Amino acid sequence: MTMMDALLNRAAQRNTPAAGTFELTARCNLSCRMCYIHNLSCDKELSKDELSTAQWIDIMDQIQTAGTLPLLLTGGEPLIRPDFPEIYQEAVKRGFLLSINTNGTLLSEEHFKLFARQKPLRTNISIYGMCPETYESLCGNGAAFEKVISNIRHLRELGVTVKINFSSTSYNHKDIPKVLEFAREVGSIVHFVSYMFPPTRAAKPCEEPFKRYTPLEAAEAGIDWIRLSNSPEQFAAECRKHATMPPGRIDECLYEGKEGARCRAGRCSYWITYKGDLLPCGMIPAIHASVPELGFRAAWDQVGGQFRSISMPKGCLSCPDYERCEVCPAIAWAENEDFSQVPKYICEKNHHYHTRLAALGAEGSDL
Amino acid sequence: MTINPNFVLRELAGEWLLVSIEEGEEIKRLLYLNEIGKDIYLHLKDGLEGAALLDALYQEYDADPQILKADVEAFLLTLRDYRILQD
Repeated sequence: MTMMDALLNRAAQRNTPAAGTFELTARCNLSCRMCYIHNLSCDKELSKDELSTAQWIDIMDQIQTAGTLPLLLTGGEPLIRPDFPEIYQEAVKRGFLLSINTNGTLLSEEHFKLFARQKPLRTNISIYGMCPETYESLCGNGAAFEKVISNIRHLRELGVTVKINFSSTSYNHKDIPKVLEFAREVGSIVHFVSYMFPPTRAAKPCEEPFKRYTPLEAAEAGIDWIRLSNSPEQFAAECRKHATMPPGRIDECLYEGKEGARCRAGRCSYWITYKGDLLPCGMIPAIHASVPELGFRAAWDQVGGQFRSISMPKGCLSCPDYERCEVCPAIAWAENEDFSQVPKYICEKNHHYHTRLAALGAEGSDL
Repeated sequence: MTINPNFVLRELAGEWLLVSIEEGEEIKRLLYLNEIGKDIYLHLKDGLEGAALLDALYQEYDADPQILKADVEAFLLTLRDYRILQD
């Protein structure tokens, strides 16, 4: 555990709003089928609702006073905003530890110079495939592929840390080996997911409905990822671990609540939407308070208090696999619009995932 | 002695940190400070140094003067190493 993790855990115990996300816009220049927030860059209605530069800077001052240090700038696609450089520099001046989520297509010379002068802690870039054809079929923009690859290489030449986010779907799963090869070339880690949130926050979902994986397919995609991203020996070891060891937590959430969320959402982390609504997590629009209306501190107190009173579904708490399941209130809400109902999709996915890995581990040397 | 203006004092869950905002850094520097380190830093920012700095700290902390002086000097060395303190 790093010092920062330890301090964030302490902040979670004190309910201090220590880690923030600014969703600068819901608009994006791509049109990815599986996006949870799918909103097009040309949507004038959405851009009218966005907080101004001055409003974001005012919120920055409020969160600095409240004790936030790591700050993620995200969207939609945050670089769509012409004032992104100004917002970024104001955040740097205040000593925030900055990370950025981006699709990597809109990086300009101005952005490269900015990041060379003041490096973000990390730039998280989503790669949707490793060829123009995949980008065209999944994101509606085949030309984006070459730009993203070129821009990642440029960022790495400047010494900017890049983490590649890869969301596996039936459109792009075949590209995993090339994603891994590219990640090795540029020295980036890859964060893989095969669970797609339903488009809970999309004003206008993609015209052609996106067919996400079935739970079994999502599980198999996850297993495929472990096999492809590790050596045969490491994969075998991972399988044996599932076959022989008792269940343990296998995700990134470090804070252990009692019956509530097991992550830092609403305890020390929060998300502020493009309209200024504070959410405990970007995937839970149901619990919100307006920062422009109430002020940050009051909004945090209200949202944090509401969210911390939520329990995980009873069916999850009593499940023998709960400790190693990725289920959380955000998933329960996204799947059922109800915090108290077990999200069956995740149940099936995780059960298959662990059972299959354990079976492979029990097979032993045949791996 | 002057304090490098390219550092920002921040607090996270009760811990104090100096965060570098200097341009062109390869890696962002963070220096964790304990309570007395934070107080020394703030006094330095207010322009206190030498005997005046030590006097201010004697008022605030119940410490052996010789030990306090030695600790302050060691801390000032660290601040110089990090280029937080400049002559």
